[in-house]
Amino acid sequence: MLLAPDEGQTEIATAVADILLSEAPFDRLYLPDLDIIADEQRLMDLAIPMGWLGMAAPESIGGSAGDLTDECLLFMKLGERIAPLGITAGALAAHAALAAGDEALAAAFITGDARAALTTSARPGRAFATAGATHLLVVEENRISLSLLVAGGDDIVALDASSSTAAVSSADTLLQVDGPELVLRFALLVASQLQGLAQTGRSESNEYAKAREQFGRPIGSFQAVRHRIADMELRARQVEAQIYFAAVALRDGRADAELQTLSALLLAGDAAMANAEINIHNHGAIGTTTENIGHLLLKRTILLTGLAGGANQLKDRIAACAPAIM
Amino acid sequence: MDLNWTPEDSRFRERVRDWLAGHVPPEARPSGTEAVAFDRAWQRELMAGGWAGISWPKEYGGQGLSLTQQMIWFEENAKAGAPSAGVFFVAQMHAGPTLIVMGSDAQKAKHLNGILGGDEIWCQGFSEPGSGSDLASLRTKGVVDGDEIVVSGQKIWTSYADAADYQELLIRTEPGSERHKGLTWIICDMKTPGITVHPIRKLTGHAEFASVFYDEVRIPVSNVVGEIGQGWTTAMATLGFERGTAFTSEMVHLVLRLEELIDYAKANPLPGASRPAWSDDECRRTLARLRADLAALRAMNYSNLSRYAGGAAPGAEGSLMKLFTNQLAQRIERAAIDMMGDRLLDPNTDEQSWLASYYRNLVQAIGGGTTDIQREIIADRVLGLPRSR
Repeated sequence: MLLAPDEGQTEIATAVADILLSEAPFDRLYLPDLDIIADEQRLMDLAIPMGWLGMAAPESIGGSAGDLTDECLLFMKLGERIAPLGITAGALAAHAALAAGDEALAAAFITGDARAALTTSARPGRAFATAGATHLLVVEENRISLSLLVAGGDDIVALDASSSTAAVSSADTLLQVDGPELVLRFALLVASQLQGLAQTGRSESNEYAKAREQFGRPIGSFQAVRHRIADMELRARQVEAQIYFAAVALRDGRADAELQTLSALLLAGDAAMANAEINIHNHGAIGTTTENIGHLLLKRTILLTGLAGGANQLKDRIAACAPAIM
Repeated sequence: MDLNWTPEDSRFRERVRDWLAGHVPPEARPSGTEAVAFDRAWQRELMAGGWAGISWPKEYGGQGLSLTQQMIWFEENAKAGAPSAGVFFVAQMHAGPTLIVMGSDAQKAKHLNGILGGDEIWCQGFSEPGSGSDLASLRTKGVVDGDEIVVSGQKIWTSYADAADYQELLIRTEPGSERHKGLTWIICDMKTPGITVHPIRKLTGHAEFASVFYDEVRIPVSNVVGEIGQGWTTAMATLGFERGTAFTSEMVHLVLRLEELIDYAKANPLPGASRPAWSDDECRRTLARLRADLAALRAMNYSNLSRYAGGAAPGAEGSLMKLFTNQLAQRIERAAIDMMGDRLLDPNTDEQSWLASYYRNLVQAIGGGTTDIQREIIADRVLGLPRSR
């Protein structure tokens, strides 16, 4: 039994975090100068040669042959920096193409020769990460399919200005993968990014509470503030551990994989939301402006939880699962 | 990462399971004075079976098990409904480990076998009426007089004080000293003249803890563990001795308790309703959310133990675990109370046990450091925030 990153995984996660810190600083997303399409393109051009889209794909199609735990660790770090959703869409599209037996197409997503936008049955007719995309990945309750991307009209102004989005219309399905496995993988990659968002909310609040002074003291010395941040830390750690558990359960095909994965997603959504709200509050009036990352943590959280399906739906599915294996 | 157990650990689990199946007493732990005999019988059963001192090193008569095997032990005990340490909790989990780390050879020789064999019950003498969360403000004084220390003052919230043979007693031996300085950790024989025990009745109705008064109680200097004036160091020496395995029992217990509640919800209606509680969206979703939280509690438990087994020193994660465990326990019991309504008020129903555990969890959010103190520890040691006090 080992439910923590090993030395190699920690090294990779740290390296990814360092790259993102310099290449994807939060101020890149501050309005009003934001050109989201240019930002997405730049970060996709960074992610592709780094091999991030093929982290858990086999070497035969150009992947790094990591497993689901490696992939989750990567997406936690991507989530922390509000990285483009095209990475999620592309990585999943490669898994889907591979599962459907189209190795050439799978390899194309990893090299960036094909690029995927993302939509789910929760948001029909609207896709995300559409800038530069060639394909559309459609996630449904028990199926993932790929088609060519067909723009369906004018671009839509998104709530989350850090993702390009567009109306799309249906096109012929190129391939589809039925069954829960890939859909649960999508759920876990979303959960991982939500964990990253929860972590960022916690870290932003923690740094601010050390620096900001009122009544002659850092606000982090006031229990009302520090106890809130302690709770933010607890949420981030709960979700982190649950993602590890779910990743192993899903990778190994354990009978409770669905329960573990949906639990990770439910908790991650709540943790990201709570931490985003509290982070805005902890930053006082600044937190309520666009001059701070707070609003984007909140908006990305709402986007991801909306894509993954609502909390009530998740709870009903968890209720329908058999108890965890003890 | 991996959730599989090594063949050796799997065999160990089988061995524990088999032994427990043949030895766990069928009856529930009695309350009141009969509890002592029940706990003692179980401790002697463990000793005879070669299971005493799960987390103690072999050279002191313990089992010297790996962290993983300790965790397996606690998991299987909880699953089998085996008794907890009960009145032996302080002796097994705190006093014994403190003596192992800080005690003299004579102190070890005198007490350790008795603790493992179920002969010595210990209680803790730390909290005082004016010193709860702020333990370092304690004022019970000890005056060195030749080869004795004369103790006067009062301790409170001392569990099983009336049953205990010995007490781990923390006193101020340097007049005028403040905070963590000038304290001494001493072994107090509870039969020493000058000690008076006043039981306190808890909201559960039981009188498991007490006030203890000391009127010029003379304790040999040779009973000091560690150095005179260095009692804080001794008191902190065993932090992390358990290294997280102690949370395992409660975690498994809560998982099983929630599944029991889910089964109850499928079979029983909400107050004033006719359909099973499970068909009520709010009730079912509350329980589903708790299922997810419990999955995370278990994952955190495994994750922490993995890090310790890999050589990481236990830190303030214990405070995260305690905070989460207390909160979850209260939420589960509260969900039960909401679901059971006035059935809880009838002393002849099975539902009564949920009320008892609801009360117990209110107590547990105070004992061993309140949930607020846990947040303080997290803020200080995990987050590195400027101190509040």
